[in-house]
Amino acid sequence: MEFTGGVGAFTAVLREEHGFGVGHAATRDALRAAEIVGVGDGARLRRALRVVYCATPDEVARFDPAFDAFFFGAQGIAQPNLTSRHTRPGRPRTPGEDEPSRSPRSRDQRPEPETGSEPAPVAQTLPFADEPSAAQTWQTLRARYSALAARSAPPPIARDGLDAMFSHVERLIARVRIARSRRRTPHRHGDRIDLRRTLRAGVETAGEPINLRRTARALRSARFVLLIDGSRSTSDSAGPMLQFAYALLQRTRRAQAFVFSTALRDVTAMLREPDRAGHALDDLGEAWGGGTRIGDNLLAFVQRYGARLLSRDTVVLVFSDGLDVGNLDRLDRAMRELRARSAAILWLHPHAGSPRFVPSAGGLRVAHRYLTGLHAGGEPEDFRRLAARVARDATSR
Amino acid sequence: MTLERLRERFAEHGYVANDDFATALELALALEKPLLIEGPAGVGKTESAKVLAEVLGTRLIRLQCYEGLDAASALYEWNYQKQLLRIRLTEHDGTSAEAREHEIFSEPFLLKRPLLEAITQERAPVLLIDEIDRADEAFEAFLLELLGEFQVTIPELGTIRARERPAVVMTSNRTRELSDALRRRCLYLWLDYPTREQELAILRARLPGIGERLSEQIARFMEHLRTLPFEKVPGVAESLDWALALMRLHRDAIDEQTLEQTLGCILKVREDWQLLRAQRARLGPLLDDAAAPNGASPLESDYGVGTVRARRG
Repeated sequence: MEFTGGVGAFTAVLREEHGFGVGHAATRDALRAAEIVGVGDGARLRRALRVVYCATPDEVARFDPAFDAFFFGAQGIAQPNLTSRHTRPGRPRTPGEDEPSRSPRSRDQRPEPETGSEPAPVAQTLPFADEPSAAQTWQTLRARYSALAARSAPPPIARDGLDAMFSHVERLIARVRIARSRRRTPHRHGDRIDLRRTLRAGVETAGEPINLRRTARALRSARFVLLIDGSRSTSDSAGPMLQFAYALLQRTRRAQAFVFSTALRDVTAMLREPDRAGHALDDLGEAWGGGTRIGDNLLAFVQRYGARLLSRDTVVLVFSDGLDVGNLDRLDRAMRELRARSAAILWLHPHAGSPRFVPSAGGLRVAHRYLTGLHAGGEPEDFRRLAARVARDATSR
Repeated sequence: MTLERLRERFAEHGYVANDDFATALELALALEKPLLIEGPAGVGKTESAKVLAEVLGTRLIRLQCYEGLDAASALYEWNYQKQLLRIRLTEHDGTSAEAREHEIFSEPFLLKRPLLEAITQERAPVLLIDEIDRADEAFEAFLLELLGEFQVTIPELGTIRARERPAVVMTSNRTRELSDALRRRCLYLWLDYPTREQELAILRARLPGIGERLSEQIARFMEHLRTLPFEKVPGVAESLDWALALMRLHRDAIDEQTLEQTLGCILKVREDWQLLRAQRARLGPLLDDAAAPNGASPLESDYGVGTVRARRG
């Protein structure tokens, strides 16, 4: 392959297959970089092109395999340092490793039982749940390991209690005001002097501007991102959460909603339709009613939508029971990214309101240390208390 | 400057540059593009820009970002007090209003802030834009414009172009996500915690008097600590502080008592102390070789006198 054309093709592969936001400028810089470091040493060329093509830690982690696959064939070359780069800070705990609880919230909860690293069967990890029938348990277990085993339709958005949910949501939007607007409003201790109001105040003191008037950037409501687990194990309890999501998206433009099971799906547009109440969401394919891959889906969310939706004004609400059959390292990575890039992450668990609740599911154990709050979200009543809790969690960070 | 030369020069200034870092710097200088360095706190992001300025023998101009930072604080401001004084002084000397205006909006009345300072230097400086993630998005957009052209327009003075393009190093701790546009304008480097070997090299380079045993023990200990889920994972800065503290205390190895006394050098959050204490059993092997040579327990008090060791014979 001619090298110049090869670099151009590599740019296209990164853009189209790996989601890198790179174009001609990157190709030009890559060629100049190759000219500087030379093309004789593959490892050195890879280091140089990584610096040019990557713009985020996530891209850095994905670059080396893509480079090796493109330039050295599918087998690639050895990458001894690839995994150490990002796994170290968020290393999953080894089985039996004791760690004191660090979240203020978690101190109020029972200690987690000692279990192995493998996710325990559903019946064991949900001690709060009513004893399910054998058939129900089998279906749930199958759903955890197969995307297609237990496909079901999402429940309709209930009209009952919708007015109450609207008022909960309005209170939430009004109370969680953490985003700074560009608009400036009068403020006693503001960082800028308001010349016009200072001059007007000066009229009372013979034209001398003695009493300074100040302005500060106004506060506005946070952006909300809802990530709703629609897998088989939670889909039965997701009704109130979907109603909450519908109410929230009807009341603010600064909210986005996603559902996931084995795939992720943006349902913002559907939930924005005013006449959606009383009707179910359209067919969500693999994003509803299958197995649970929380880590993969949260990571997909971060990669696809993170740059646009995550900021320190964003409150992320994850609705899930934490029963993840996917790679828990990926969940750890996704949660670390979400935590670093948002104002707060609140986990709404369908059964957290139960007095017998223990956060023992594998996914929840990994996610727990990144959370700013763990609350109940399985009953309509849970959302009445949510505004105060979210306001407290989002502003305490 | 070639890769090897860069590494050598950085090593002369006590900065151990790994391959990734040296390559990124080599390309940033050659392509004249800003280098965005991200990574956990305390791994040497800011220090790298300071050392780069020393290596290049040029001035370091630093812009520390914070929430609410605006163009006036970063670029330029008119010296209003000086302007008012000049107006008062020339009130009765018959100068026309236009001439007076022209005079008070000239360069002597301009307060250059770091960005303007950087592009008006005769010799290209190193411009460090530190913790860019703390600044607002509006400032980021403004910066984007400046970094694209390396020129600014001051309405009263006209357009000022950079005489020499500064070497720009931006750092971010990722407290918020930077815009894609800014990222794509830069070369990117993720600076992670050093490996044990790198940490050892850093300790020896920065603290030439450190004992071999102590430095190895610190490097091994820090490597282990960084695998634990602390609130604030200790970085290289903490390793160096700790090593310096141990040297000042005349310790040539770490035992449990010394660790307890100097814990504040490496862990700055109370919950992290608790976590470390909970892990004490696992840390034992790391401290074992620090046990007193006569077999005394490392927990045995020395009553504040310290230990004196001498070779026999």
